[in-house]
Amino acid sequence: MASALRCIKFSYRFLNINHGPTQTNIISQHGPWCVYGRAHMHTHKLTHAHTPTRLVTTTACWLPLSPTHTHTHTRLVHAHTRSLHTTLPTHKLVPFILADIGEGIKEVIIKEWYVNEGDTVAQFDSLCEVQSDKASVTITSRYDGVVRNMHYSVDDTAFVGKPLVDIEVSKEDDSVGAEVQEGEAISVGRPVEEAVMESDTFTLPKGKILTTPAVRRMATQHKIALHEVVGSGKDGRILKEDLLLFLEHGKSKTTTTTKPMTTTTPSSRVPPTHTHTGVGAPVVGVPPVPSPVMVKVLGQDRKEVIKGFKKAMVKSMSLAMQIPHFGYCDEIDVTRLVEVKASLRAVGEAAGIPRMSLLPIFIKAASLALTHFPVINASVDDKCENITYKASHNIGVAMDTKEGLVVPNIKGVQALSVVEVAGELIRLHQAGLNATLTTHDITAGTFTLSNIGSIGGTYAKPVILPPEVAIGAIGKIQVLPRYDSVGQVNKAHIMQVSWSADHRVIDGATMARFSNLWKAYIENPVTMMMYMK
Amino acid sequence: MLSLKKLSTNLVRNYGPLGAVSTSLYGSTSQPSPSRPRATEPPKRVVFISQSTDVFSNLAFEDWLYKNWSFEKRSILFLWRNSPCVVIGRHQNPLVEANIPYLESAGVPVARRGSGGGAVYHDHGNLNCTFFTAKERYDRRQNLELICNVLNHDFGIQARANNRDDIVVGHDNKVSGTAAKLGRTSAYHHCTLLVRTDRQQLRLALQGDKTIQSKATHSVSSGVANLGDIGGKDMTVEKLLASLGRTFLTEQEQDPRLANGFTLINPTDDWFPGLGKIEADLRSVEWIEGKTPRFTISRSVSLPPCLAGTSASANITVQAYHGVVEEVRLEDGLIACEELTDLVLDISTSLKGTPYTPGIFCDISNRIRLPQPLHTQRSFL
Repeated sequence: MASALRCIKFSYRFLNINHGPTQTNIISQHGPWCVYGRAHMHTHKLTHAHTPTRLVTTTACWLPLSPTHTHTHTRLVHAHTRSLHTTLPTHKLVPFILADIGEGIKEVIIKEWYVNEGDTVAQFDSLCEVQSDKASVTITSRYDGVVRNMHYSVDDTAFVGKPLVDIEVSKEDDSVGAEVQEGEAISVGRPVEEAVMESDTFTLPKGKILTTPAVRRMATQHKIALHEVVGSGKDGRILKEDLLLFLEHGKSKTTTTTKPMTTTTPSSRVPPTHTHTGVGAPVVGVPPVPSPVMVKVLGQDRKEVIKGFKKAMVKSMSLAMQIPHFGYCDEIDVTRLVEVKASLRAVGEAAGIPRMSLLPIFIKAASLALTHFPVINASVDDKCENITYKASHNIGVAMDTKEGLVVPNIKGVQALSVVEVAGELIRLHQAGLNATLTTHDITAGTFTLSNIGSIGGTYAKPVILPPEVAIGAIGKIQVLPRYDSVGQVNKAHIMQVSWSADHRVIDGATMARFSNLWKAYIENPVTMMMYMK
Repeated sequence: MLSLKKLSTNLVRNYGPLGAVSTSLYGSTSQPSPSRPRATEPPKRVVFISQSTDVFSNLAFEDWLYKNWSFEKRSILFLWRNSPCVVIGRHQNPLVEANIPYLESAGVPVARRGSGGGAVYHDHGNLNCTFFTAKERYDRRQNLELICNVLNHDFGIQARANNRDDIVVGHDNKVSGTAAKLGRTSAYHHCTLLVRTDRQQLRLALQGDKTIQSKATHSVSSGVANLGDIGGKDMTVEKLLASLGRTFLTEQEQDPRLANGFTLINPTDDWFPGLGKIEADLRSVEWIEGKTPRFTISRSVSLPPCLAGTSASANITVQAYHGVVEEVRLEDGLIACEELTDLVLDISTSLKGTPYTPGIFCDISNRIRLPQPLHTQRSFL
């Protein structure tokens, strides 16, 4: 029996089955026994056109061809009628027959496909463009479904009355065979002034509703009045999705209207489509809310235009928040510094600095640490394409003035002594109080320290001032118990510092090491003295 | 009851030429005449005449009407003329059909229309007619017969439509070419009419590169003649236009008052919303070049001595799809040396995806002439 079956295995690529003569050649050469592959074949790209996605090879599926099937017919149609394919149980594969074009035309050439296999199409979507003689015809789908089995490829000759594609429609859509009422489907006499190519919400005059019979049935099932539904399909057609949306809206509408509106400000309104703004189950079993006390607001709202420093701050902060910040915080034991504070003060007085504080020391220590980590004293441009390692340490100090936050900077701290830094600090502070800060004072900063601890607070999250790349916020000095090296609990003066850095150019390790170095200088002022430049 | 004509003239005064058209729509839908049942009423006939000679505007208007109007109740004849241009069919290859370098140097645009068929040359001596009908009423022969009747009765020219739907005079001298487009509900059939076209320019413009192989629709060339040469000195495009329009309107109408007459059309986006977008699409490279079917073109490229094996030149084939290069390959690859095949493979990968230009072979021959060190560099990688 096997010998009688002349089994020929060949790949579709070399087989041109759409032209009649070749088909008969194959049959005459190999006899009526031919190989049928599985019916779920993709389109066979048959000629020298190279589109690898369409390549098809047969698998060993030997089937005898009955002697009666000798007419030149496309093989896939046969395969379909012999039901070799395994269709999904809920779907029906419907062959979409190429309808009569008119003018007695029997065959056309496929010029372009608008869909691929597996695409979902709706009724009236364009499937392909065919050319017959001099007419170019757009073939539109008659069904909703998924495209399967494209029987022809570009430049093939398609026959009128034979299937063009198979469309997988869902079983529940029994109306597949039914003729669509063409008269209803065309909207009549649109006046020119209103004719728009693609209008999303096209409302038809009353009485003309475009839907498929399946949608109509669903509407009667759910008791929906079709003229209330907004169609989102082409020409204002009502699709199944529109019905479902309408049902959802209908449900949410009923819940929002039943909930009583108890709002404190009468002007706010809950929009009906937002079902998750706390508008849910009706309020039941909740203890009675005491009537709110009406707070008497004395005076009136005051509106002011943001200008001057505030405006500059708005601008700079908006810019700053585009920088990716990362934070690093640490605790510093400033006991030793506090112990020598009295003598620091004395030296300061002698140099002409009234009420010397620890801030100049912090600033100088920062500068010493910056010499070892020049990347923290750098500057990046807007797009973060270039980084400039600044030579001068212009350390800015955040000041709180009448106007708000100002950050003047002390130029060239690397060359200044602690006393000089203190003197500069005082000068800037006075200028800030008198609002006499010059542009030179405010610009060209490279690093910033914020002594927010003088007002209060421990840890902070400072915001970098562009074009700088790092900032530190120093918290207040607290007296806290700490263990010392021996294991004894001692009184320690603890201060917190919070650093923020631009993560585009500085990594965590660098910042940590810088902080450790700065901490080392401050915790043990002798080290600072030794490394002082 | 106000007569339709008076109503339409009032509307024209208030709303411009298209006001008249809307009367006919409302008139017919709201007051069906009791004597004639609705279903068998023949469609009203309207003639539109374009005031623009820009081929893209006119093609865009054609497309706009086709997509936006329903032709159940009306049939339309659209008459238009263009300044010199070449119009190719939907599935044609501009390089094959038209002499692109010549047209580019002359500043003559090439447009691709939405209907099939072959390539034509338009100028001021050519009249285009488009017949818009509902799909059921689509009948090319009927339209062509109307034109032949007009030519016979009004101008004494013996013209007939042949089996290819061309209108010919004398011994198969073509005076008109036809093309059509059918959609789901509407259809149009358009044709050209050569009255006083510059035949010299026509011949030069349509001399494409015939060495290109592709499955694009090929134009069938034939000898052409001008109607103006046959019909006499006083035959002009305007006269033909007027005759055609008049005949179209009065042919079926029992009551000439119901004919809406000629309407002048200004195809701009202000009058027809959405037209601007169609026009932009028609002008775009994606449409004109991007719809070209797959084609291959082979040329002989001379090789530098280092690569020349047995022959001093090689046949290189460029394959392009939708105006973009798909592959560059070597014909008769067996006799080429390995370096050449590698080089062609490299060229193919680098040129793949680039838009096809006629100067591509120049580019390929330059690439083949790369200096030696670059070749050795490749071998190290």
